[in-house]
Amino acid sequence: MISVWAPLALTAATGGMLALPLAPAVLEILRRKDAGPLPTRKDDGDIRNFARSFRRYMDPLRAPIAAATQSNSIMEARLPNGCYTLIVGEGGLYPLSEQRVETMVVFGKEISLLEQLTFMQDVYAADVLYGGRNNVFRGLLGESDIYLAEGTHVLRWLHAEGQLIVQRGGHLHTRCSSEKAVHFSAGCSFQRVFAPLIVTASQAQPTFTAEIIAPEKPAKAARPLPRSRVHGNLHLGAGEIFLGNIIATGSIRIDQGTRIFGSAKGNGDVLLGANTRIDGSLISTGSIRIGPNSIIKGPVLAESEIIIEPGSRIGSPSSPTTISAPRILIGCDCVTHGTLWARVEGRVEE
Amino acid sequence: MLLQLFGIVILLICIYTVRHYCFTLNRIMGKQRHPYIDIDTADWPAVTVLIAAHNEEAVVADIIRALLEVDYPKERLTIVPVNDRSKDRTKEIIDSFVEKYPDRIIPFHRTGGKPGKAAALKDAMAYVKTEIMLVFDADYIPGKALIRQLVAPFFDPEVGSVMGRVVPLNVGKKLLTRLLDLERSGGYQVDQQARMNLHFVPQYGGTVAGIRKCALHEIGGWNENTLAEDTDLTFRLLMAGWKTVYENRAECYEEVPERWPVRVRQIMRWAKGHNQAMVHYAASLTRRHDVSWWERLDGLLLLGVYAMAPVLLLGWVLALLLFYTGAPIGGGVAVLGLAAFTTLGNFAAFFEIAAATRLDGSRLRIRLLPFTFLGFAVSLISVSRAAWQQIIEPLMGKEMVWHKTERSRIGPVAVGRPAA
Repeated sequence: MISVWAPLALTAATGGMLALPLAPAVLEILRRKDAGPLPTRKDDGDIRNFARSFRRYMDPLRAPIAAATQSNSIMEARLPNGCYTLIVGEGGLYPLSEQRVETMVVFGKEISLLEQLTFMQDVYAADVLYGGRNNVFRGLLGESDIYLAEGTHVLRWLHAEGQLIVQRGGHLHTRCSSEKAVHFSAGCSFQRVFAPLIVTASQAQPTFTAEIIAPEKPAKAARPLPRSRVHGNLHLGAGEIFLGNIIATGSIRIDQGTRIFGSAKGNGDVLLGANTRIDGSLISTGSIRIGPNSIIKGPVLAESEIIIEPGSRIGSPSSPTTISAPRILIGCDCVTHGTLWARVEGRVEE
Repeated sequence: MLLQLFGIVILLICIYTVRHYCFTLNRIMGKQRHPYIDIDTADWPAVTVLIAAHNEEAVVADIIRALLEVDYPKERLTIVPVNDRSKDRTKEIIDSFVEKYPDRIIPFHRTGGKPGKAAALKDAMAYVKTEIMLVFDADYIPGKALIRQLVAPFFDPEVGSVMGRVVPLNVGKKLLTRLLDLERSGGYQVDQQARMNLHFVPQYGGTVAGIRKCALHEIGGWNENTLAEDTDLTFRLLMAGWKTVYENRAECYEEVPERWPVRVRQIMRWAKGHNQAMVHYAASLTRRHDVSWWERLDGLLLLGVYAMAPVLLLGWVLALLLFYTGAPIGGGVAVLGLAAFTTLGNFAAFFEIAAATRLDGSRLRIRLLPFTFLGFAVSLISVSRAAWQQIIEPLMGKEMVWHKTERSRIGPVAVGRPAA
């Protein structure tokens, strides 16, 4: 008996041991726990999507907000999901009793906030909002202008339908957008910013113009520019004019007053002198330093760092563009149009 | 002689092993490069989207519908369905869209000419009035942000072509589709992105892809005499000083083959086209001193990918021969050969797949990894057969034939909807 069962047992044990590693695979085929397509990106990537969805979220409170504003009163309301909301219908200086506000707050009128307030939930401002020093906002949607005082922190998102003015030491830790303009003072930090106009100054002031947003431009006709590819480092002397796209397999140094009617790409660091002008994009696999009072019309991308010296202009009202690098340092009196995207750190320098 | 040949086989396998591991480790631990991903505001250029369609009645409506909904300035996006001698309802379906959107869709109904995608695209160039063009196969379903993501790298004047990531949509249909899903993950999530990270040679894949028209003109346009116009284009661009960029987050759904014979024909066509490119460009690439040393090395290894299947088969045969003839193969070589064949060599690709599923955050599908050996075995035989045919058929006076990949989709697909 033993001689019959022994080989059978051995075969079964061996077969079992061989089959064991396949068991999860067989189970997955039979039970299909992870058989759907991988999720792909479905949104359009617009920075304002947070604000739009928050506005939709606030829609059920339209009537209570209007009532509180009309009666100059403070009301409590609940959203359909049960979320408690404080609606402040009074304008002027609002003395919240606590420094740490745990509920969602809606300001129906122009409001000024005290110092040292921390809003643990998102804030909705139907009119102009003047923040106090060292305020902390989780998220903030303003239907008009927003003034953030010194030392303000915004943790998750911010959107202003009007202008956004950020005073010294303001820290926008994540996405921040305005339909009109963002004004940064020196010492501010940012991560992702979008506005038709982004201005840096020693002390930020709002712009008083009738219309900041430029009209849509018609499509440009295809006009391929000639391409020059330089092996090694490239140096363009002061005042040179170059027509076409220029690429260097090494670094690029462009002296002051040079103009490029096209784009420039360096496979190394790119250094631009003062008053240079590039009509296309400026790209580097290393870092980029843009000299004072330079003008770049297209996207500016670097894989390590971008330094923009005072007085430079990037993009234009009719052609907003993107500045992107892990670190972006901008000097005062710079004007950019479009997106600033610093994945690690963005800072406005003195 | 056999021993030396065996040594070369082992050496080649070891080189590819190292390559696979370098790519995977770079992907898991290295610095990731996505230099163009943040371009969300720009003066977007006018773009033409070419949809290669040969008997695509099952799928062509889905891609046109998806392209009409993408987030790109409408006046700057022209859709050109390239109806290549279709005998089914493809023309009728395209024309129904043209009726509704005459200012956005310009159809190209090709009735004759040389067969093959490259030949069709070559003829379609008369319809491309823009400097940037994107190419999709008809079974793809682009998401809303995809066109911007594929166009963004062209702001870099060094970029000649762009490749997005292909994501299978019909994953849950069969074991084959699930295996192909894993294989695609490994190929794109690890292989392509690692090449991008390391400044090597990401491959233009012919679909979910973009090309700069002046770069295409500079290299002489589409090569209609190849079965893999994508590989051909990648290497011609590389040698002309243009970069190909891979955008891992520019994802697009595709339909993968659901039947093994379709898969076999597909991979045999890819293998033949790739081998054609290897024969044409390997030698000239090594001589290009204006291409970086790393790009040349990676390019050569990329060109040789499909040649490795017959090399591996040869290695197995040689190993058996040497073993039974009692050749002095030596302990070290035997161990190396064994390791290369069983764990390090072939299976390095499986390590890639495992890493890719982890990076995708979809870890349960890793359970199917043992079955990828089945797909690997079928590919090994098919690719080796393709190589054999490539050697034999010209001697017999046979021409290479383009085999279109059959579609299995029935009815419209909701974009992005999980199938399982």
